[in-house]
Amino acid sequence: MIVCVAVVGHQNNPLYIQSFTDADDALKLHHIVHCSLDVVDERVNNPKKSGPTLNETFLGLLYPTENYNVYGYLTNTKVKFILVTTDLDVRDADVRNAHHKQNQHHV
Amino acid sequence: MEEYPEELRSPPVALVALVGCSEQHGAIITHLLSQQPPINTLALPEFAQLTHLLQRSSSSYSPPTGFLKRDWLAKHRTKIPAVVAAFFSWDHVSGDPAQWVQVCSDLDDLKASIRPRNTKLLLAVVGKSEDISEDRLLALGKRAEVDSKSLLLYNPDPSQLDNSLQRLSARFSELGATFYKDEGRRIKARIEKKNFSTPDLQVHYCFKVAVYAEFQRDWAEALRFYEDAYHALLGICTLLLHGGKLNEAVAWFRQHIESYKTLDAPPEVIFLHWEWLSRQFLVFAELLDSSSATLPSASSQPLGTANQPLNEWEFHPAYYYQSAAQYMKEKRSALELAVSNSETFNEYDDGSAESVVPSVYIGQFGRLLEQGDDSAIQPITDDEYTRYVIAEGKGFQDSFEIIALLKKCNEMHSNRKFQRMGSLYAFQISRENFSLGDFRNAKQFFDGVANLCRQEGWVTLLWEVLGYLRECSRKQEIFAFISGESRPETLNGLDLKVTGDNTLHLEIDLVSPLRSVLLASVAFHEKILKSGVSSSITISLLSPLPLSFEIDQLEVQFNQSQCNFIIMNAQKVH
Repeated sequence: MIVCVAVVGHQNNPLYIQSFTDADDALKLHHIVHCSLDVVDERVNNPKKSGPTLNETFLGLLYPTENYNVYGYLTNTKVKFILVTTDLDVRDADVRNAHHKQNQHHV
Repeated sequence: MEEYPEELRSPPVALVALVGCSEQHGAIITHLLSQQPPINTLALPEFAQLTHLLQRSSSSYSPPTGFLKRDWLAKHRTKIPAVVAAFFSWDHVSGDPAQWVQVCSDLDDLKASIRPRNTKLLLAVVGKSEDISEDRLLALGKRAEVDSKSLLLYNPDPSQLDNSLQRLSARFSELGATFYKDEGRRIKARIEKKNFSTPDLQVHYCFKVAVYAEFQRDWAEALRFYEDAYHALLGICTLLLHGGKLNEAVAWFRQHIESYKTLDAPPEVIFLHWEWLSRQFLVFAELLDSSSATLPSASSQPLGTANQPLNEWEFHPAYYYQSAAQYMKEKRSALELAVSNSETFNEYDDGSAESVVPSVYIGQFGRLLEQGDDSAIQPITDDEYTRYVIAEGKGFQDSFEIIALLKKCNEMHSNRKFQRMGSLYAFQISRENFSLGDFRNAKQFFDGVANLCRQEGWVTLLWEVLGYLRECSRKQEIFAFISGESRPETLNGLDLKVTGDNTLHLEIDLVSPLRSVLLASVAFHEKILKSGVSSSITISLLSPLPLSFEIDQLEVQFNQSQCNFIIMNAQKVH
């Protein structure tokens, strides 16, 4: 299940962030999204480490926590889409589709 | 990992004992330690000391009643030699009949003391080869019941010393390997015959076989038996990491955690499970941390198998330190709940917990009964154990351990230039410090976190941090007032001035970055407010997020608190 969706500007400023859980978790999810930007930066700045995902807008699984998985997507204008899910074994293709749809709406 | 006992950190090294002719021991000890692999030595000047060392604590064998005795690993590394080398001076061997009788008597005692433990025996006669008679030497070997390979001449003459040492160390290695192999084989036979009554015993046997295999440096066999024993997770991961098998070690650990993470346990003792889980993560983090220097970088590793894909994060110690901190927090909450839920907690303080001590076997506890000079350990019930662990846990301050773990995460992420993750752990450290009442340290970290959130415009996070900072400032002010220190005048660019009229003026610097995140402002539509005359006041809320706000109630506060009121459920007008 997707528990949080965020759109982050090219200066890493939040443009939109919405969580779909209890209010208690909202701040925690904000922290998770904020932290995931470190991984996005690393992937962008170290293309060698990113491997096959380099030329793609979909950045894949950014990082796992005990209870969540965090996925990222980078648009041409350096806007980032971040998805946080509670399912720890989500197929990449499904998340990729979700991000593409998100991008279409954003455009 | 320095705080763990040596036997949990490094593979074991064969142990041998030297007895008799103590003047030769120094050179031999140095030589054996320089070998690859090294051999540790116990040097005993007198034969009687060896007998005492090898004595078993009780003559009758009783089956083990636990997984492993606490001192078993250390004992086999430091006290129980695989080989005993008995040194006799040639002068004594070839001397008068009385001296020969003494040699024979020493040998008989020696044989009797090593037999129960199957210790291997090596005889060394100290002297020059040209002086030594073959017949007497053979007689000595026969008396000791050793073959000719275990009967050596040790010539301390500088020209011959190297040769003597080489022969001695080669024979020590052979006999040592045989001893550990035989011991392993003996226990393996019990496993193969399924000669055990409980699963605990199988673990007990498998673990011992694995340790004996480690003594022989047979890592594959050790790994196989550790896997069988399974409980010895640390041993498995250490061996895999020593072998550079990072993927396997991480996959093993993940499987281990998945198997044991969820546990149905009574709520009053569930904190023990969280504590155990936290420890698993901590130990693995430390193992990974200490091995990372010698391992290939995670990015060059194939990431797991199709069935078990591993994420690159699972190769970073910080991931495990963070989980260790998380479970330690779980433990703290569960313990607090257990303490507060137990209405009869006063009973737990009846002193009965004081006499509970660890018993001989790992993971077991008993009650120590002392009568005069005698003492005995009596088994305790589950309820008694629960009382004991709650009483023990109550006196333990978990926050410091949590802070230490979080600091590790903070450092590791900061070193990787993961500023935001470092900042998240700094925030958590501050919250721990805050709850401990250490407002000065809490404020220090909160300031750093606030700066980062402010730079990137993460308003909600900043708001949370500022809330803590305000509380820190308040508490410090109270403390400063009590201790007579001067009041802090500024807070993050906000000038906080309290005038003699007891009113509060908030002045915001025009260039302060805080202006962009100040969430509320109030506008008075009339210059003068008179009592009994209605007046309009506008409250503006600023948020950069495109979210709608629902306001259920509005609290209006005055400097005279009796005038305060709350407007509830006001109708929304668009």
